[in-house]
Amino acid sequence: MDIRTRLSLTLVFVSLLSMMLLGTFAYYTSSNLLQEISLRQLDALAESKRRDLNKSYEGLEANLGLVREIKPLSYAIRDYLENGDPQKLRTIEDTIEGITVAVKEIDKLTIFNVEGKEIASFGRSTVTHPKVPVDGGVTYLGTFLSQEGPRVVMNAGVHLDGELVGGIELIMDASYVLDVTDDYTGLGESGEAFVVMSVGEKLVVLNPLRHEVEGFFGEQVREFASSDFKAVFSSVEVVPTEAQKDYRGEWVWLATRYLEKTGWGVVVKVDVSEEGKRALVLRESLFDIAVALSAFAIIGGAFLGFYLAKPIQGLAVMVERMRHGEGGLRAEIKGDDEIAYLAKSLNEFLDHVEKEQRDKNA
Amino acid sequence: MPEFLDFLKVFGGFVYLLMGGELLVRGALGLSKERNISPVVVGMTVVAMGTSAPELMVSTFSALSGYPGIAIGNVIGSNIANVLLVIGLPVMIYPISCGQDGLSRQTSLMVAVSLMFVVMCVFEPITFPEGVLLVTLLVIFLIMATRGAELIPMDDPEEEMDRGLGLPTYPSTITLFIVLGVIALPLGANLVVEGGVGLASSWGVSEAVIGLSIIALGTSLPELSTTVIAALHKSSDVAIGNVVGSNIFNILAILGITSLLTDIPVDPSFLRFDLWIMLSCAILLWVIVITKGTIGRLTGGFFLAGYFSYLAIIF
Repeated sequence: MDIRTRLSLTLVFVSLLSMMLLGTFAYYTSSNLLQEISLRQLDALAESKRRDLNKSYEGLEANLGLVREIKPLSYAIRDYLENGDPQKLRTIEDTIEGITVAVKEIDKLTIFNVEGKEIASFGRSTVTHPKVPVDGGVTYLGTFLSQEGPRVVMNAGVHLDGELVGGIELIMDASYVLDVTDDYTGLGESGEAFVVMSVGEKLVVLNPLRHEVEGFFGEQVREFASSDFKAVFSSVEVVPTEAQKDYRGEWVWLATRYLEKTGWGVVVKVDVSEEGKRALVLRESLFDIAVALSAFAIIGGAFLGFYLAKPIQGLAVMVERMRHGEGGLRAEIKGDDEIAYLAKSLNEFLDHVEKEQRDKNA
Repeated sequence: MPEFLDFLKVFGGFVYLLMGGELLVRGALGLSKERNISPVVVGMTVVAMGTSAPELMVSTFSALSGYPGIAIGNVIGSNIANVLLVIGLPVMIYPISCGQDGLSRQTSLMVAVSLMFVVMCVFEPITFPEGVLLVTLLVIFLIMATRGAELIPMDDPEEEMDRGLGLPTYPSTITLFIVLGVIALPLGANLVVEGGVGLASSWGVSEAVIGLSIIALGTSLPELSTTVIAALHKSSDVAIGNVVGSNIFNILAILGITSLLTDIPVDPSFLRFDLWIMLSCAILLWVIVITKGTIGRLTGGFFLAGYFSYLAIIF
């Protein structure tokens, strides 16, 4: 193999090797950085969804607060409970009907006495739940899945002149959960968000999931549940740096938030494989750049080899010419390197041979 | 920054293509020499095809990667650059005389093949049967050329075999050269296509324009350097043979083999403008050759001005 090719190949090999080491370091650093960015983004999305859900829930609480502050209703409840006046009952029924019709989130409004016995109700909700006696403040009674979607139930005491006179229970539409979880912005092709809550031994999802899995209907027994379902209840508001397996059996990165007031868990997750594509693109780019940069090594090697081989080729040509009968030729000595030393030795040898030849002829 | 990286990829890709082509040819020549294979076979296979490997790789890679504009653009752009630039530039140094034996026959063949290419583009896409036709024609012409028919100008295989220095002799080195050549060619083609597509995206032009300009220019660089060096040695005449040979090979071999691998759709913009420029260049050269004229500085200047005007128009 000629020197030019040998040098080019050696330089390319060395440059590719060093760039491969550098590229490997850069790839792992960058892919870790990309993972960190993804996890932070997930964390931010989980926080944003938590805020949206809390805000919507507080809106429901505000509805209840407004209803119990309606004074004519409070007086009517007290008067009806004290006197049993049917006119007051009519007032109560008319008022709650008006409220239920006017506030679209309210599915059903029920008025109770202090002992929890129903006085009047209006609405079409089919949600049933055990009765919970009212106390002074607003009490969250739970979230229930009905055919119409998730429903939140809460009650509050009705006070008049500092005295508890009765109670109000509202069953409210919590479809805002769907609005918050249906927004896949920043979650790519595979990412999703869902809200999960604990019902007895089960963990149940409140919203439709993005991915359909045969035989899976959005609930799992807590003990055997997938990591994405359990994570929110086991480590509150921690972003795991390790990938978890989700309900599909896919590896995902996820971030969770726990909503204290409702007992809901928000899970935001993306598939590791999709996120990995970015790292793959990065790796391909690094490889391409390394190969492209090593082109300079090829050029450098070719020039260097040409520079080094040229005087050796000159010597070879000179010897060839002498072999064909040309006499008195001498190699050009340039510089003080090994090739110059070789040229000098060759010239001395030729001088010696010619001198011997002359002596012999003489 | 992305534009710079794309440039780097195109540049690096061309270097790898040149190195891969060179290693492959040298490895194959070394093998031929060691095994005493006939120079005729070497001329037909190794020297003829080996020197076209970079263009072939770029066109095949781009067509298979979903960028047929680059594949066709490379062929059209190379053929235009070959006539206007590869002949135009060396004649500014030393004039070319067009009186060599067999040149008019070769140039006529170039015009005929170019015309056939235009017809194929009109009835696009260029498919497998057309590929078979092109490759069959190539094989026939090569066989005729090696029997002295002077149909396709070719590098002299005897001369190539006599290069001696630089040809590998050990079996391990021969294998290394061939293996590295086979690795470097697709690697370089991939870089050129990726960089070209990136540049097209950065500049807001089609991939076809990049194929017609930068990639075509890059793949014509070896011919350009050969002819410029020849002109410096006052033997510019070699340029015409190089150009005619390269143009015939571009259509028959590169387009032929690429269309054997995948159907090549033709961008309508090629039919509106570029193909006619390519055909005009072929006819212009043919007219100069059959009149046995000499291409001097004035004509060279006209060729160069034509080429740069063409680049300005397509951009």
